[in-house]
Amino acid sequence: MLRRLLILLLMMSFAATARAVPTEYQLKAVFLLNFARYATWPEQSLPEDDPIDICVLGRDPFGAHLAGLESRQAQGRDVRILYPATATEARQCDVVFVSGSELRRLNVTLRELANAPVLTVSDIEGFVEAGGAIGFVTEDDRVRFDINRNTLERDHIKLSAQLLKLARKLIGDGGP
Amino acid sequence: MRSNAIIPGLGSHFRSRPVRLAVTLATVLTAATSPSQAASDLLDLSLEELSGVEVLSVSRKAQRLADTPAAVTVLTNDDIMRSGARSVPEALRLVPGVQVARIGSGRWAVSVRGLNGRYASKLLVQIDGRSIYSPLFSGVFWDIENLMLEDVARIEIVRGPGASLWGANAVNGVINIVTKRASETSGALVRLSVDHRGTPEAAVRQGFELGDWADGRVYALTTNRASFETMDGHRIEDAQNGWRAGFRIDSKERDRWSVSGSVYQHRGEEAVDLPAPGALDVVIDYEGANLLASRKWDWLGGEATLRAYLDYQSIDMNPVAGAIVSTGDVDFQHRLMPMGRHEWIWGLGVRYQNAEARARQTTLRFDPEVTQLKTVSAFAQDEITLVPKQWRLSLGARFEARNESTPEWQPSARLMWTPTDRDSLWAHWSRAVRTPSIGERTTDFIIGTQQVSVPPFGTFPFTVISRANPDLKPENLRAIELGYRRQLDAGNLEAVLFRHRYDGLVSQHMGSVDPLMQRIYIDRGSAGKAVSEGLELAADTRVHRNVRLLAAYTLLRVHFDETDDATQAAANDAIQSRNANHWLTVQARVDLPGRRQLDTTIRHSGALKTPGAERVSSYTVTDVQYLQRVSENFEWSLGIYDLFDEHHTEFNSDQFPSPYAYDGRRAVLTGRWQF
Repeated sequence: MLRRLLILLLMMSFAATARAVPTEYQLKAVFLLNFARYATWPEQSLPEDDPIDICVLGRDPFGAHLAGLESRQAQGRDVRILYPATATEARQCDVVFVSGSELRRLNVTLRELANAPVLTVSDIEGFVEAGGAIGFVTEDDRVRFDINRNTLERDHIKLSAQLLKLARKLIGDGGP
Repeated sequence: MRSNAIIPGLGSHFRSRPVRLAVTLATVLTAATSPSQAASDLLDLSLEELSGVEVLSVSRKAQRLADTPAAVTVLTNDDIMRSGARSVPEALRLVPGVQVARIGSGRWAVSVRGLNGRYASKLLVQIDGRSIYSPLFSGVFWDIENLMLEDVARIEIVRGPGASLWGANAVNGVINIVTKRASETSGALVRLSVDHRGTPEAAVRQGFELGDWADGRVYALTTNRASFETMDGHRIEDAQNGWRAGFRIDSKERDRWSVSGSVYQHRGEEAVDLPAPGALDVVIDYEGANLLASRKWDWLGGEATLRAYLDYQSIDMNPVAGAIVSTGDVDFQHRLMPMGRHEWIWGLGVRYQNAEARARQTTLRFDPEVTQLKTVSAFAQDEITLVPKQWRLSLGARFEARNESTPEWQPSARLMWTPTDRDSLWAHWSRAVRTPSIGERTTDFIIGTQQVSVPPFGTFPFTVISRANPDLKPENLRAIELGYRRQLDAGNLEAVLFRHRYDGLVSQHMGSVDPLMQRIYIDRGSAGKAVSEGLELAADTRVHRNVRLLAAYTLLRVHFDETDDATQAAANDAIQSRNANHWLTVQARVDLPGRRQLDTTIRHSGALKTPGAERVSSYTVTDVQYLQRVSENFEWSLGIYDLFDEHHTEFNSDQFPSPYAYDGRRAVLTGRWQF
């Protein structure tokens, strides 16, 4: 039985490496780039020629997929991937992805990031209800997202109508 | 392949092989490196196009555990539903280290890391923070914990001691059952099911809104499980019938406050092998009610949680005995704002329990009949970042004092190394205690009779009585654990090695002999010493867009220290014999076109070495569940358990001994409406 299990494990791990469908985090990385393209920050927080900083707070679930974004531009600016050590440091970012590893600290982290011009994104369940800006939801193997308009308004970030239209759910009354 | 060369020969010789196994495992794991696919084509897609791309999604559980330096498994609602489980124990079969054995209809033996039994004493189980571990027998009445599984958000299983956080009795493990917030169960749900013997069951739930300040739900369900059989196909009277109704109300503002409660009644029939008059058909009537409230608020930059509950439970084992346990519990926890490299959590708890037990037969005696337990506890834990993103150390301890006994000190230390974002390695050391149950401290009961020769008068039948010991000391565990977790692009792997060293285990000793009353006394002591060690492996990957494979494997060895006391040795052997050496569960979840699902679970367990003619042999059982979503509102499923009809038995009850119960192929047809 053990022998069969090990063979199965081997099969599983090899099978996992050979396929064409993108992985969830590969796609989520691309979404992060698109959020950076369709968001507007207050002018004082993002001076001209400054790169857009996309940060990951906590364990990086993206693997190699995030580094690929640095080859692209968003709104005519360079894209930079950073890994702040604390939520306080993350206030300097433009987009912050809050990793699943931060679940236990979520409320404290969100409070720390509140009122900073930072677009918070996460796939932690209930993220937008807890006060995050954009929450990924995987439904039927498609990556969707919810948006909290109150949070965006509080942090003075605007998202394009195109992005809002694609959202699965809009919560808060930030106005159309 | 190199790995293949290692595999042959890995059989049952577990004693000498753990190291070799670990090497094999490492080989397997390193083979599972992630691909770095070119993502450039994705980068050029428009937003609309991205929203349509199908992905290979991963289970969320690996990520929420990425930073947890403990052997924790999370079963999501999807895991529970797709396992075809109709009760919590069935769902737990997917977790390595957890031994789930069916005793009969609705009766279970569930343990983590060995020392299994009907009321496995070293496992703490909680529902939304309310302990369902009974102080009466030191265990969980799984028969009555029939929950609305559709409304369970997740089940977290901590293998190994969790005492520093959860307190005494979290010795071998902790199971936390977390139900969904009321906002997640907003609609109505009706479930009707019938098994192949025609036994029906029903469940209903209705969600509602209370203005703009709260969401709520109410639910009710019935349990109706048919009797099992003897080896030669005769009915064993062990049918289970019951109902449960409850509610939950949550604040609209997420996690601010919550109130929930339930009431239940349950009747279980049992054929108990009584020592004196022989088999006796008993009926156990359970009824109970509970009410729980919790509140969360921001405090001193951190987060505070206050939780309180009341629980009432009455067990009437007709015509033998009856007991009522009432519990009041208040618990406070505060997670401080991270300070530099430190993240503190501390908490306080008070619990009051009143237990009344009365015997209605002379085979049993409780002295005293009323027991009051007052428990006060305090804990603190500091998570220290030694090297950012690489090394973390977590130190914690709990003080717990019960009545006038010496306070127990339960420390733990966990060190975690995360060399990459995808790999975690941890080492864990801790001490935990199990307080002896009320039953162990206050009950005298007759075990059986024995012919004793009293020269020169002849041979007489003596009654053997197990005698109460009010001074039993807490049982003690020191545990070490080494774990490794790897996150794949579409799954995760976990391997854990553990060694548990117990001392002060409740033991049986030959006591005095009273020739006039013709009685032999067996006394309870605290002399048991044992070691359990083992390996737990788990894997979960999406091998194809529509196929997910899960596997859980456990190797376990439980060994009591040698003793000169023949009575103690015999009792130890009995405990030891209730654990299988290894068991395995493999599950394949296949999504078929047209919103259909086909889920197959194969589980294998090694034999139990119980002495005697009738015993539990090794078994391999295949369960299949087919589900079809006909519309947004309606789905039906057909579960066939034990597809190949291995008429088998899994466990013989160690408490209230009853005949071995067998069962073969069963089918359950379920319809579920949601609107």
